[in-house]
Amino acid sequence: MTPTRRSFLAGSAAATLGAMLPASLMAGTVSPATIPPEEWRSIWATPADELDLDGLAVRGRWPAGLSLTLYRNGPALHTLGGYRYRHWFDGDGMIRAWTVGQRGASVRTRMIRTAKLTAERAAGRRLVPAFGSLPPGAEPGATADAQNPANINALPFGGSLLALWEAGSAYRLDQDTLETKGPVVWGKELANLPFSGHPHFDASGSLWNFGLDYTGRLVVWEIGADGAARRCKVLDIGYAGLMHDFAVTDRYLLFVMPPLLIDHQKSRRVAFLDALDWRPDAGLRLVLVDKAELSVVRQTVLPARFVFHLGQAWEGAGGTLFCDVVTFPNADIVKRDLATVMDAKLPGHPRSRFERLAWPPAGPARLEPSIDNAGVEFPRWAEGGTAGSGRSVLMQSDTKRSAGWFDTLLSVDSEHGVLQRWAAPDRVLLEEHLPVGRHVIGTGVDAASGHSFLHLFDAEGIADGPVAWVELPVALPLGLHANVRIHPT
Amino acid sequence: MSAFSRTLILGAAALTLLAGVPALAADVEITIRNVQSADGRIMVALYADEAAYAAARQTMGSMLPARTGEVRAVFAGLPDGRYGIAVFHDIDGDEKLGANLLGYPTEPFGFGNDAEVRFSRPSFDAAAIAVSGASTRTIVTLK
Repeated sequence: MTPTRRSFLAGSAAATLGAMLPASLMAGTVSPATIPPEEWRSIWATPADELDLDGLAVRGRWPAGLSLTLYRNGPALHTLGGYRYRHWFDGDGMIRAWTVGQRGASVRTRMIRTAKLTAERAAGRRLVPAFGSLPPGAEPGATADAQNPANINALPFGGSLLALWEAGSAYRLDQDTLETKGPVVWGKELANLPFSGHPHFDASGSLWNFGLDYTGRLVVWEIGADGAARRCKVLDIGYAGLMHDFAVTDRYLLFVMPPLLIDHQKSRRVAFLDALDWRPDAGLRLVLVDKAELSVVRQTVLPARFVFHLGQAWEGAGGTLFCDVVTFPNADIVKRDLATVMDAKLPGHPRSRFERLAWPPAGPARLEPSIDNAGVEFPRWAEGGTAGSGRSVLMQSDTKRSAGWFDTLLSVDSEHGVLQRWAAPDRVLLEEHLPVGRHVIGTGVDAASGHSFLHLFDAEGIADGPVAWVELPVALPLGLHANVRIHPT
Repeated sequence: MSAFSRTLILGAAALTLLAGVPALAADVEITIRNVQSADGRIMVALYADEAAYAAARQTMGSMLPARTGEVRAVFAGLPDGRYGIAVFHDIDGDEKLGANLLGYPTEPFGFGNDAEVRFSRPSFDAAAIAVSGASTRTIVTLK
């Protein structure tokens, strides 16, 4: 059973909310080829109240015995005290928790009570600089955590939910109530250290992460499966730029460092993003760190590319290191396009590629496209297992030129290319999707109805469309990264 | 930065008023604001010149019981001059400014004139007050 526009709107909640739809849309006068600015703006707006919605219908065929919560984090509350942030990444973190089983679904949203948001709400205005904005009167705090919106990722781990940013502490939340407990202090001398937004598991169950201090130092973390910090080390690598992700193999941590570099002369006067210069002459730097020693063992430089996300990484025969990488030819995506959306404008078609890095122990590294599709992002795969043989899922942007956003789901094997693809109905915007056992799960927004939804695919039948879905009678702002907690049944 | 934290650590080591201070001249009253708890102590350091500030050679210091809200430190009879001021809240009572692996402070701190701290210790000029005959007051808001 494939949800179409008709079935999206046929949900019981939707049936009672027809009056909420724009009159022009109900009359069928809006071209399905574009999303009007007012709808686009609503997609990036934050509901006035936090949600606690129970009894949502689960449609289609939800698998028996599968009960889970999908936690997505992402920027929200972009407007406060009459000031609107200039960049998507500026908003304060909001958890969107979808709990779904065969009997029904519930959705809970909570703003993360960071020190930043608490102080700014009390003042009724923005107090500190954000990633891409310098609000009037904003003054930098004494530590990066004073500016920490905890808005990039949500990871259930060690009995808690971690809300992650790039440059500051993880925030710990109750994974059931979503109550904010406070910043995580992993141990003595480990307070206020950067714990970035993309930790990765290895086969041993360890959670690895990094952080940058933006003066040239790299912090490397190993957290045991029990939730206790095992090791934390500062490496002086001389890189001060925007690096969002990294990769983990059996023996190594791979860092791919785009030449989007901080000019500290500017950083005192402008927003962080505006102090970042695209410096293609510096190239794309690769740094390999040995997990046992936590020391740099190999470095090289490739022609310049901008990178948000890495995919699977593994060591091949003869010690060659392989890694899937989503690359952009330059940094326009972060410098320009993701600011554009704050003005209710569609971003340009992204020029990203899914490439494979091959880095032999001797000889030059290579980075080559592994699929033809452009405009892809958000690679996810089953982490902690045997890498290199599995499949990834990732999103493709705007294949139908109808949403100005990700509208297609791909199943990819970097050896064999695109294995399956599913294009969403017109004007449906997709968020990151991820594998869960034999399924793939994700969320998105139907711009036509103004509703958010969660849907589930059979991993082997992605092209057949979702097998089950839940519709929410409001739109939640588009988010960033999500992870799933499986409930015992 | 590590240099910053090291400076405060060294500065806080000399906790008693130094003997042999020259002719009495004026009092300095420092109001320390935003003390978040009554745990531990408030450590106040004065530096008599730029060289002492740069080298973290504390000229005199004071150690006061912490009290939620405000704490006042008074240095009596200071010779005329300019004095750099650094303060921290020694919550755990180890007489050192707590710092993480990057050297960033993990206990609340502040400087004279509420000088801005961004990636490094503020300059002597930013954190110093002038004393010339009359009593002087300044505010340090802990961050």
